Amino acid sequence: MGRKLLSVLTPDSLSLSLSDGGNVPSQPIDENTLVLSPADLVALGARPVFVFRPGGVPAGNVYTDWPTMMADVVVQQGPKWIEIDSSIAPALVPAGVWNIADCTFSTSPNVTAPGPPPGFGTGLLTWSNGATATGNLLALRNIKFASASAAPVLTSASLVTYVDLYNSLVVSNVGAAPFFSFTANFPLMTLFNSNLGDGVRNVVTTAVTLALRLYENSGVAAHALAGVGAFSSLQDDTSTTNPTQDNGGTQTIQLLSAASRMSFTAGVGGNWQPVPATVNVALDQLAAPNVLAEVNAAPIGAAGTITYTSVATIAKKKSGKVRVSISISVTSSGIAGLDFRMYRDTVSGPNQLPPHGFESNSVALAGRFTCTLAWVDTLPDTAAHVYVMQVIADAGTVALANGDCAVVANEL
Amino acid sequence: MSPTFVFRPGGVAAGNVYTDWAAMMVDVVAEPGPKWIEVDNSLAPANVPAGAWNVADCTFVASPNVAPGPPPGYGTCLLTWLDGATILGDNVRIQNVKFANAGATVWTAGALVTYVELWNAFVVSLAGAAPFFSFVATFPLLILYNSALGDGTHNVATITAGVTLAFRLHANSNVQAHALAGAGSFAAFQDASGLFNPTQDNTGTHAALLLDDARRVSSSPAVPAHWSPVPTTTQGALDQLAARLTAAGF
Repeated sequence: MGRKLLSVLTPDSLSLSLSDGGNVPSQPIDENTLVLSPADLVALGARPVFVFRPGGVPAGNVYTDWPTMMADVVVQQGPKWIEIDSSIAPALVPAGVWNIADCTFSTSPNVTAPGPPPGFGTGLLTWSNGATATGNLLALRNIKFASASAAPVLTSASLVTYVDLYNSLVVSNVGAAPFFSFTANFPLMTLFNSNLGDGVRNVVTTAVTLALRLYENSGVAAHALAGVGAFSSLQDDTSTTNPTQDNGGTQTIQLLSAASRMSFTAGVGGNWQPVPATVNVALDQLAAPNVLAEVNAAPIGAAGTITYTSVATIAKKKSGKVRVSISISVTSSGIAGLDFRMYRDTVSGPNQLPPHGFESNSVALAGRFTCTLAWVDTLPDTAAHVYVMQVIADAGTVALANGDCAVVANEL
Repeated sequence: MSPTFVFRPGGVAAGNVYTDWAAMMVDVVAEPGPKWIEVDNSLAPANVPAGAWNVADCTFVASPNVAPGPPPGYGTCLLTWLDGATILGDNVRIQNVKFANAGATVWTAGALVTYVELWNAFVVSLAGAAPFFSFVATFPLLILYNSALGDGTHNVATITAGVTLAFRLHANSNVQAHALAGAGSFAAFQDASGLFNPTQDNTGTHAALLLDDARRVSSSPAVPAHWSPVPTTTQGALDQLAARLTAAGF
């Protein structure tokens, strides 16, 4: 069972004790104020928030000296928060081994600009040469971490190393070793609106497979990753893993966002049939062929006028613009001219498509004539439509043999 | 008191470290404002015993002593709610922790707005258990970031008729098949990385709404000369492809 702080207040005194029988170290008490040292509060489990303010005045949970603060940090159980205030003097982590397990680092509001990427503001914690971090479950919020150390700052070999960056940046300075060194599975870095690297220097060296989750405008800059290990980066459509990396292992970039889960609102609804609601459907609709293609399967006997109507149909799927081409080869008898006409659906004036074709047969008693007509038609509606070729002999007759009329219509 | 509490069964109680759930919750409910409960099951399973526990305003987090783990691994940080354990309260956040229940429904939420946020977390109902959640009043809201609900087999939430469960699925979050049951409805807003399995057991309305919009997704043609004008959005590109050759003829 956890301990409670018990207090007895009289007009002249205030005494404190712990519920499990422990004593609170004696403290100076003036007339108005009870002062407990940070260590007292830590011992009580009452101080999960620490402020590192170099150049400031230490008081309460405000520390100007990193080792002093960390002595209290490591005692504190559970999650804890370290606020970095570099507004007065640079915030530097000195050489040493520092256990930052379960710590969330954030920027003080005293810093001019905590800032998000790509500016990254001025909230900066620099890890000096020889400074190393241990522990797991590390979170950065609104802050930039930089390594100036010749050796990696965080060498993690735990089963699962979890680093969470929110609106933050981690870099390695000129001449510094990569900030992170992952030597055992499973390292995981989750970034929200955050970045790794400056595009030039390695930030991570990995001997294993580093798992990255990039969300909300996060990025892994070029050359951020090194070592013989691999990485597997799962990223949403706002994030980027620069493919230029220096690691020797497999490089896997997996896209989390799917066109099927992205809505599409057509700018011109009339150009679509049906109007798609998602990007993947729109793409499929554009990619899908919409073609009518057939050759007549039966002959048409000799007559003064013959008409072939396609059996196959075509319906609007996108623009409704259909390139129509009908090629027909007929035999004629008698001295006559042949008129070739193309229609949509039915032989009627409004449905006729340009151009006309005309062949003169002024000499031969019988002959074979071929004509190809082509046009771009606009389908008037979403119904299925057919195309028609009509051949009219001025005199005599024409006939169509099996396989001699080809109708092609494809939507553009 | 500290707003942070460590539940470490099998450990040593001291300061804000507790080995007994009931003892910890006495202090948790006495703490005003937001508070954090760190689950450390590295020494023994972390189980919540039968009882009604007020976890309003609590954020559950994983201990660095265990693998916190993300989906789909979910690590090993597990808090199991035993049969008879029930939750009271609102405004609950689960971070890097897996919740499982082994018996009756844990959380029957009838507040006007029930707000549950999952961050890199996972909630399931074990075989034979009732759904973890029961939403009996509007408006329940579940927000997931890189998190998952359900195991693909067992119901996790039952929604009462007339109630609509609202989801926000962000950052690779998903609702597994059969996660939802009951006569109520759901409305899931999901980004392009979120996935809502359409196979659900609730009989009310199923509404999946897409947050990512082609109008707000940029397009950068590899060969600009193939376009006129060069589209800047995916919507513009798609519309342009659909409308090409709108002038008749060649």
